[in-house]
Amino acid sequence: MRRRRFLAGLGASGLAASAGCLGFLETEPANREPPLPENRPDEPYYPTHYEGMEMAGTSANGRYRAMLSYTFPHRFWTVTNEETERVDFESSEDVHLMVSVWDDEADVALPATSPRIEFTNPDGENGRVNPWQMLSQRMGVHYGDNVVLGPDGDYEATVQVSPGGTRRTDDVQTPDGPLQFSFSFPFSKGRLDDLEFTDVAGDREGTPGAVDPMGMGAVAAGQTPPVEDFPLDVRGSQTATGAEFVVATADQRGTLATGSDETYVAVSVRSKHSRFPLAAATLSLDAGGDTHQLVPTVDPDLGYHYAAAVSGLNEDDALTVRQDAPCQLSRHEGYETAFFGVEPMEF
Amino acid sequence: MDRDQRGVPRREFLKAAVAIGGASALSACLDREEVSVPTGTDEPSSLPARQHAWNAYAARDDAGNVRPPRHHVLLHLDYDGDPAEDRDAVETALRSLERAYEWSNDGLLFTLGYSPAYFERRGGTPEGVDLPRPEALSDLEDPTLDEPAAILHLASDHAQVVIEADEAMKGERDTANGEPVAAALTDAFSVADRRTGFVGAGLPADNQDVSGVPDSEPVDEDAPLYMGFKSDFEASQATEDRVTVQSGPFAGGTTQHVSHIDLDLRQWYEQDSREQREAKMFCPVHAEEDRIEGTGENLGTSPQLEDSPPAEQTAREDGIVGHGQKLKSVREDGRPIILRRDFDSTDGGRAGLHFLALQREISDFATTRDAMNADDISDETAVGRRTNNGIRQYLSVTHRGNYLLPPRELRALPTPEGGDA
Repeated sequence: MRRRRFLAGLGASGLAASAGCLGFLETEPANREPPLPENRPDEPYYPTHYEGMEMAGTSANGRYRAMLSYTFPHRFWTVTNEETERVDFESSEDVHLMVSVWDDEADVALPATSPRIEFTNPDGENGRVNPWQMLSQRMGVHYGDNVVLGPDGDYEATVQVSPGGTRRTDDVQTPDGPLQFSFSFPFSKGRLDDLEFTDVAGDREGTPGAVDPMGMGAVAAGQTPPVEDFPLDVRGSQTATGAEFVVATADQRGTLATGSDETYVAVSVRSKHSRFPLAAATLSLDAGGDTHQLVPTVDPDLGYHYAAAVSGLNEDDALTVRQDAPCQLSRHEGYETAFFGVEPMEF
Repeated sequence: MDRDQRGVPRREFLKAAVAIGGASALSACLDREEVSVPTGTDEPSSLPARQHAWNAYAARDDAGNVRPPRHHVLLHLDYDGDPAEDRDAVETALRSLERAYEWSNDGLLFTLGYSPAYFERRGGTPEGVDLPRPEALSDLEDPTLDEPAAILHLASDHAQVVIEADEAMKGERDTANGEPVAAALTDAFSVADRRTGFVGAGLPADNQDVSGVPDSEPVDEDAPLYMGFKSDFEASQATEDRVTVQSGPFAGGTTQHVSHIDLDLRQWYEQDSREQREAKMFCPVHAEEDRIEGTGENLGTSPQLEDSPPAEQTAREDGIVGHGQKLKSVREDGRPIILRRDFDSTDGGRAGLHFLALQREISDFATTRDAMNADDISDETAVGRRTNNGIRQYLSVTHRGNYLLPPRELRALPTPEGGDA
């Protein structure tokens, strides 16, 4: 990105002197981020720092729940095919604003709901943002962006959410249009500055691994089941560039693969440490001489996964999973080098 | 840049004048802009039978593409009267405009259209025309459905012309361009809403101090639209023939879809790279091969998408699909089935787009919009409903309305059967 005011204002000597210095970061957390670790691995890695999150609130509409939250503005990376584009925050931006959505009745996270946030600040000014679909080590799959909020005071926000972005295995009918969720919350820069800030130790940052999720509940974060507890017959699991692929089969699943000769093939692709679903990828399956598209699907027990109904599949047939396009979720620090360049996997 | 005595850049003042409208804006405009506007005709028969026949009278850019008029006003009109009594006044009002201004970009181009709600109140739907009531056209939108009885679209290269014509049609002026105004549309209608906008190099840049465009003034002086690229290539437009109703009493008419779209361009300009913008607006291959210079004027009269890979292919393999690339699938004989006459706007203090499109049937618009939505692609590939899905990330539809633009001879309060005007 072009505009790195915070770096420009820092100067080379300041950068070197302050790297990893907690005191410096505490004084101006909203304006500066430490430099990225050198030699980042091609898989999830421990970021330079992480922070707490403040809830603006959780709002209900029918069976759906939306959570609006914020933390410090962060650098992140948008993804186009195998390329990342680094996005540094602007000094005018107050917070990283986030939305997470789940189906409370089915107890499952909905990672693809394309929310739109509109808010009114204490001065009566309106702001709006269609946040990016992103992945972070603390929040899992969510929608977020760095935004200018405004002065301290009371805020009103409306979030429009469209839950129908992913097919489901159950027979829940998703609405044709967006659902509204309303929030009222106080915001102050002091409150933001009080959020917990953790500087990751210099010998740990940049090494393979991931910090623990925020602990806001597996549903909101969308974590997928571990291999050992996977609800279907697991045919195998493999990991590449930090993406864990679990391939499992069943005679049928909900409303899908209901034919007598059909097999439901589910591929759960997730980050290897926290099991966040790697949504927004293209996957296909070679089985029995045919290629099948693996379609993004939400299931109450499997979470977000990719699946195909395959006819005439035998138990000992080889299954080859291809990642035709990598996960296009925007990435927070620690995930921007991961999940790319996955070669076909045979199970 | 020319500046008036108070130091306001002239062009900047003129754009605000259209948005503000009214007598004071007009007089200030006339004071500052010395333009000789060509007058029109007393002979209605010398004008085209189609209200939407603009292209033969329009300006052209260097490549030969039709260059749309720079300034636009949309008047939403309510109607509560008896057409038999009001028809003469409506026709007289419109003939006053034709007498005052040449039918051209340099004078005034205009259309008067009627909504499904208007025809319903007259007991039916317009015979032989596909004109449903407006509706949401994707699951991401919940638009306000515009259903005034009628809509007047005024378009000219001169701000003063659209302001003056607007004033004249509201009964606020006895003359227009020095010619007498014998009747006003408000003799029959009442004004329900007024929307304005602009298109053409310089105007989006002058109007970028608005919510939805970041403070860094990213919109280039050459950009005809806020998003920075040219869109009105000859090959990106249906012909007027293709959008014209072919038979029945309204033959020679067309349908008009007018939506308003909020533009959120902070991400577009501050977070996306130039390469991402090119890929999302045109096609990933255009970006990869660096085919686009500036606003895209180097492309000539075509966005040159002929040899672009199918949208499904780049969606599957590259996780991205371009806006123009998606729309290839709805082309007929290499050209779209809708004719865009859209323009940007600062209405409501927000960067927006009045997406005005003409098509033979409203379903042609819905088909085109379906291709832009690309639900079949976002359901199955790495491309999301917004993520890397053309320009959907930055667009939010707020209003939709459908109208029939009858042929000129039926433009004054027609009956559903195309009865006498």
